[in-house]
Amino acid sequence: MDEARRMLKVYRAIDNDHRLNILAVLSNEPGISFNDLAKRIGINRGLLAYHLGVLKRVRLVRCEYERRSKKFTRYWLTEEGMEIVRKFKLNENDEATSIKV
Amino acid sequence: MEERIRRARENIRREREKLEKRIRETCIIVVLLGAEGRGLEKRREIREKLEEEGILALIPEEDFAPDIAPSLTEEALLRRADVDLIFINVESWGSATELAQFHDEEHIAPKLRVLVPYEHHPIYGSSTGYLSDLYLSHLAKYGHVYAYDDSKRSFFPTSERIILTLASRFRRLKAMGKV
Repeated sequence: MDEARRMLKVYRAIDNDHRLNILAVLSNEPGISFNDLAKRIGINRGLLAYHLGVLKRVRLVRCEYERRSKKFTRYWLTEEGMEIVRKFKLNENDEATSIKV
Repeated sequence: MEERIRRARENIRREREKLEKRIRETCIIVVLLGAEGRGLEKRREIREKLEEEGILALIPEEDFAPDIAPSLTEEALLRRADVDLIFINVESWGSATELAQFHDEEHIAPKLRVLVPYEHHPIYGSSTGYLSDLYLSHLAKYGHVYAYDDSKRSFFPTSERIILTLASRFRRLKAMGKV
């Protein structure tokens, strides 16, 4: 039951176009900064902060803070995040590779 | 890219519905707003209990990207995100300001569940002033203003009990397609 509930949380988290877009971008550009991600996804920065929060909460995404001149955050997929990207074919390169094979 | 996302979304929806049917549950997203300090600790404890119940619970100060001020994040998300319920525990001037900001936003107000210390509740308490008046207006227009007592010295439930009870029932209603 616990595992089923956990998977249900993951499915709820990714049943959203913006969050799927975020996963797709992160699979192509690991370590992308918050500001660059906002430009790539093309949504309000506040809303992006929320969507990233949902994805972090279900452990599909992780972030690292860099303190230079100001607060700066970079984002990566976790192992589970990569698994989801592969399972639902979110990365265009994955499909190209499988077609070649 | 759009076609890829659309196809992925269809597959995810299918898997999600299959799982929901099997375990007869669904997952809702709730946001917990409140004070810093002890208020934040309390919200963390509640978040953990909600997560055990299979509810995705978020605390803006901790869970949202820190690159942007929480107030900007909250305003955007409360208006446009796919949040099911927003619990706001009015225990500081900060959370009172948030309530004043959100209580009459047409996209936000129906999702708001306002928790008020019983002595300040417009029906059960005896406080007067701007905030009590705001609670009363919200109560009259939308309902969902709950009196609590975390000291457990009165018959009022704790804020934790109110949040867990309402979130669990809402999740069940959503699983049955009633909300």
